[in-house]
Amino acid sequence: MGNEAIIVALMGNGGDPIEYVVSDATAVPKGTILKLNDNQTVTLSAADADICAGIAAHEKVANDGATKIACYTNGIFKLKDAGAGFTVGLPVTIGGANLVKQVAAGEAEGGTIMGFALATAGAGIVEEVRVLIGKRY
Amino acid sequence: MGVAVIIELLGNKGDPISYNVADGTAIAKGELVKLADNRTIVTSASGLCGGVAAAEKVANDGQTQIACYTNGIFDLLNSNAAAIGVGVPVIMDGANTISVSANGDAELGKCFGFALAAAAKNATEEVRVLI
Repeated sequence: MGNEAIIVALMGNGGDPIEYVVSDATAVPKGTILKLNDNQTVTLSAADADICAGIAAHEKVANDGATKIACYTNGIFKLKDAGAGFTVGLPVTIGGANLVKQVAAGEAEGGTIMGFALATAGAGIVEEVRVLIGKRY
Repeated sequence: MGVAVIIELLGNKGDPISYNVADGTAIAKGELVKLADNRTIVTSASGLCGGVAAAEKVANDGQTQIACYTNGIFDLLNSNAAAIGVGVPVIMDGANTISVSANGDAELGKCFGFALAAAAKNATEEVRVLI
C-alpha cells in the first residue's frame, strides 16, 4: 500500500491499542491508517472523510485466519500529507490511503479528526502528527 | 502569573510530549505553553495549546527542550470574558487563562480540553486537558 505511518513515540499505555475486527481476506501492513467502517470493524483507509480508527500495530497477512487487529490510538507518528500541506497545530483527518490532510470547516462534528500536526508539512511531505483517537472536539 | 495546578495526571503520567524551546525563554512549571512552530513552544498566550509545562525552565540555562503534560486534570483560570459551563470545550485566552470555545475553534485546533466544573468569570476550576 505504501506510505505507512512511522512510529515516533507511543503515548498512554503503549499507544493505547484498541482491538478491532478485520476481514480475514484483508492484508494490512504494519503502520497502515485504518478506517472504522462497521461495528468495531476496520478496513484500509482509502479516501477523504474516512473515520480513523487507529494505526495498525502489526502486520496482518491476507487469508492468514486472523480476524482481529490491534490499532494504536495514542502517540506521535510520521504521516504523509495528501497534497495540500498542513500547518503546525492544526487538526488533521484522513485524506486518502495512508494520507492525512488539514481539517476543513465543519469536519469536527463528523468525527473525522485524528490528531494535529506537530510540524508544518508541504504538499506530499511526511511530518510528525500527534494522533489521538477519541478526543472530544 | 498564575499557572495550572495538577489535580490528576492521566494516561502514562500525563503523557508528556517533549518540545523545543528557546534557551532564552523562562517557563514556570504548570504554565500553559503555546505551540508556535514545528514542535516548538513559547510562553503562555492566546493560540494553540502545546500542553502544561512539566518542569520549570530558567532563562538561559542551556536547555532547549521541555516536557509538557498533555493528558490530565488541572485547575485553570477562566478569563473575564464569560462563565464556562460544565462539559464545554475550552481554549487558551491569554497567559495561563482559558475561555469557552466558539464555533469553528475545533477546526482551528484551539480546543485543548473541557470544563469538569462550571467556572464563573475570573474563577479557577478543574479542566480535563487532552491534547
